[in-house]
Amino acid sequence: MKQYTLKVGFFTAIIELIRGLFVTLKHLFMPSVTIQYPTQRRPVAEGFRGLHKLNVDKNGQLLCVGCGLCARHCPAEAIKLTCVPMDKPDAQGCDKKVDSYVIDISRCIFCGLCVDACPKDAISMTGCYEMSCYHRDKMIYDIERLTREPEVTRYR
Amino acid sequence: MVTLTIDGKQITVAKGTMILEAAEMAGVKIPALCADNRLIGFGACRMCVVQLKGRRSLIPSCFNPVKDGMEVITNSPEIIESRRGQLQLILAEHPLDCPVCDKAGECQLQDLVYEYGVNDNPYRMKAIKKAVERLSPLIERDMNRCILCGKCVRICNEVQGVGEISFINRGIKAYIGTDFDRPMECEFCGQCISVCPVGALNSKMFKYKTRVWDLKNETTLCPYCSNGCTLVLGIKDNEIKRVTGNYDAGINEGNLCSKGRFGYEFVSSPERLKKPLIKKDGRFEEAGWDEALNLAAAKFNEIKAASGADSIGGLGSARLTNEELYLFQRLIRQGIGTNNIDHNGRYQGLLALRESLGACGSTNSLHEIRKTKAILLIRANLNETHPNVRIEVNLAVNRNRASLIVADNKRTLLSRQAQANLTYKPGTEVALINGIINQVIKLELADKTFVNNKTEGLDALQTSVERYTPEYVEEICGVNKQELELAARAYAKAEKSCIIVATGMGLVGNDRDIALASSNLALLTGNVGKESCGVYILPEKNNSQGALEMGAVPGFLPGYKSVKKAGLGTAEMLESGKLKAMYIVGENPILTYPSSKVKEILEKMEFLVVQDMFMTPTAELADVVLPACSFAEKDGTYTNLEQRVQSLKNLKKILPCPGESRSDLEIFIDLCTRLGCDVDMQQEIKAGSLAISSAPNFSRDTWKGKFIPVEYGKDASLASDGKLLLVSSPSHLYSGTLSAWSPYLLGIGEACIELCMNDASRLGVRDNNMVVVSSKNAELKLKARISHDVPDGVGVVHTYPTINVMCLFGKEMMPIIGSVEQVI
Repeated sequence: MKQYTLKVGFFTAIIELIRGLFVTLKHLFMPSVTIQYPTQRRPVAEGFRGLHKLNVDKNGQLLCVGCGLCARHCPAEAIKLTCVPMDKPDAQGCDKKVDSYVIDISRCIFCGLCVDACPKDAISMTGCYEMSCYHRDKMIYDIERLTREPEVTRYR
Repeated sequence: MVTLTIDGKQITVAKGTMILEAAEMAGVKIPALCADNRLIGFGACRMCVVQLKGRRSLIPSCFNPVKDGMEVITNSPEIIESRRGQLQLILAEHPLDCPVCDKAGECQLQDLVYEYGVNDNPYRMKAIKKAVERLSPLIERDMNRCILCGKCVRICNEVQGVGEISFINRGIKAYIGTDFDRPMECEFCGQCISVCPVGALNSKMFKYKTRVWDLKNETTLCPYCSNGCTLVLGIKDNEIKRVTGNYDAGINEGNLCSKGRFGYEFVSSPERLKKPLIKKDGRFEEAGWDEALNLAAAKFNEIKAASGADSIGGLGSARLTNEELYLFQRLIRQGIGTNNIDHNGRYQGLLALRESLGACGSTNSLHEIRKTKAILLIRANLNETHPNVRIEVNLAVNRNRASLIVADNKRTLLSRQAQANLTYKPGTEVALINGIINQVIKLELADKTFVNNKTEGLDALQTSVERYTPEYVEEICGVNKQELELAARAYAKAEKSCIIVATGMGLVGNDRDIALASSNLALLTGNVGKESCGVYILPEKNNSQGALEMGAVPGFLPGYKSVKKAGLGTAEMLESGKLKAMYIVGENPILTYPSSKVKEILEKMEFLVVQDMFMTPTAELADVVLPACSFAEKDGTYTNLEQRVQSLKNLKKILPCPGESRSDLEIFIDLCTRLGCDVDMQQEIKAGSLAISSAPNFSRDTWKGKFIPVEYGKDASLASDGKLLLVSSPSHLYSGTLSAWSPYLLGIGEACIELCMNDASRLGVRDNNMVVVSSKNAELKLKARISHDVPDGVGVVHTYPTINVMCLFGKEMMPIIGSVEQVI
């Protein structure tokens, strides 16, 4: 410091110090940038490709008609679905029902091609990005888990 | 031959070829929704329009024949605009429910709409909502999706000859349906499903199972009848999801019957045996392979030491592959040391042709039937037994204008197209054929040069048939003179004519005599050794022909070499009670053998080994049950009715065997080793093929046919005092060794006795009543069916997998007098 003061002069050194501290001071009074995850979260952007969601209509029926295009387009082969014929056709005249719809999230690469492929807008992607778990079985998402709102772990 | 240019490519084709077919040969693709190689051009979809140079208008190429020097343009802006317009018109009415349509992915309309980029539609109309027909078994008809190409109607008429569906109404109200919109009652071949270019006709079995693009398609052979059709199995998730045909593969040109198309469920049935079972204290316990095979070998050796090798018998199945049958007969002949080996097929008809014509089995190939000019069907209800041979007959009659003569003990579906219907009294086939021979000689229709040069023994035949005058035949067979003369003229006058005889367990009559009499008739008219002529003896099961060639019979070694001392055949093995132990492979004699005593005999056996895919009633009596693989899970070859050897495809990798089950071949090898006859597979197969190639070949020059006169022996008089003459009629479900485990297939048939109106009213029986049918051999409870096809005094008993109706007839399998009583 002494040598630095001698080199640039006393006043310059002081000014530089004050300028540096001014930035610190300024930031002291500015809102903080650090987000206290997991108690605080950033809002996710529109179009974020998080966990899938199977959409339902106002009666709670799945919009999915089981065409299998999502499974067809999935590059990671993460989607598997089976369908069964119903005894009676529904109001739209469709007698096909999705029996099981499973996404293996550990395989999914979140490319969103399934959403693009869906002709009925029956699958969409939510902002949920917290899917880590302690057991691989939990990575398999079935209809029940895919239709409800994604679970978000709250700590406070 | 005609030479024309298609899109600059020059091609020479036969006269009468349509432009569409010529373009296909030239490698130019013309889109078409209503064209199929098996069908005559129709011109319903107008997608195949082309332009001819020098002419303004567009013409449909599917029904315009080629002309010399024609210059065809298939891709001009005008043509493309026309096709787009056509697609837009179709789409105006066609619902775009592709996500729930099973056809999506292989839909021809979808492909064309994509290819031509039809994403706008100026035509707006409110489509009339039509009901979806879901009542018929196996086939679902959604008329909203139909584009009225007429393919299903045409294949049902032209190829199948059934005519179940048709166009109904005109114009905008037109749809495809049955008369008065009843549910379909046909044979459910599913051909209409296979040709539908859109998703209007669906298989209920495949519906919503999977999407077509997920299927892995594998080509293999059909395990049912002896036609040897090629199947395309659609496999996903270790399960067969559907079966289709392929026009370019196999002898069936993509045609399949109900068995081939819908009878695949048994492969992935949960009831398949998974582990070897050993009976301990009357209960089956699972065991390892070593334990089960060691026990079997030890017991066989023990019994052999105690009471001789001839107290052991082996009953194979005509559903095994050639390799397995060869090894099986080696196992029995060398490993055990007896000639007591047989398979449960009625093969006397096939063997009879060796005596007279020198050929064991049919003399000509399958596709020659369609080019023939006259067909004589003797006791061949082809609709039930060999549906794809029926297609050939149908093509000959409809396309080639062949005259058809149906000789059967009832009217069959083919009788509608027949020129002469010879409905004889049951059991009198031989007298009828001899009567025709008599007529041929009398009317001097015999081919004298052929008879002089190529045959021997005519004099004996002449004296033998002398007494079969039309009057005598009318008295015995009940066929009137005019019909007989008509049949004789139609058969003998045609330049090419063939005889078709069906054989099989479910048919009554003396196969050997019928085959010999037929070959006499064919020889006399010179219809042997030429194209589209000959005698067709249709074996019952997919490898009945191979079982004979491989020597799975008591009297022959492989390649028809005779044995020193013939062993016991099926009848003696199952009825005499001489045997102490038996090895039954892939057969279920309790339900398929014409005797009600089989169960007793098998129960008395000291030791019984059954090798099967399922726990059949026979397997329940066994001491050791060995689980075997199905046709899709093994290698091998089948020999079909035209002696064509075709190979199976081993799909074990994508269709694993259930549990520890092994292929029959592996089991035989293991057991052979344990019984002390070492087998080296490579050498075995070589030896097998040697045995076949060393079978006597006959050359064209030195060949001579033999007339072997056969006499009509018994007087089959019609039953009197309220009794009926019973005959059996095979159902397309056969014996049920496979079909009994395909629930969907079982749903399209039932065990019943067919009666004519007069008999029914005399006995007080109504349609669908339950009746007790009894003969001197057995008694059965069956459903009564009143039909117009059956003559007076005859009861036709239909076979069905779960009921052994053959036990009514006894091992002679001749028509038998029985009574029918109603149960209340």
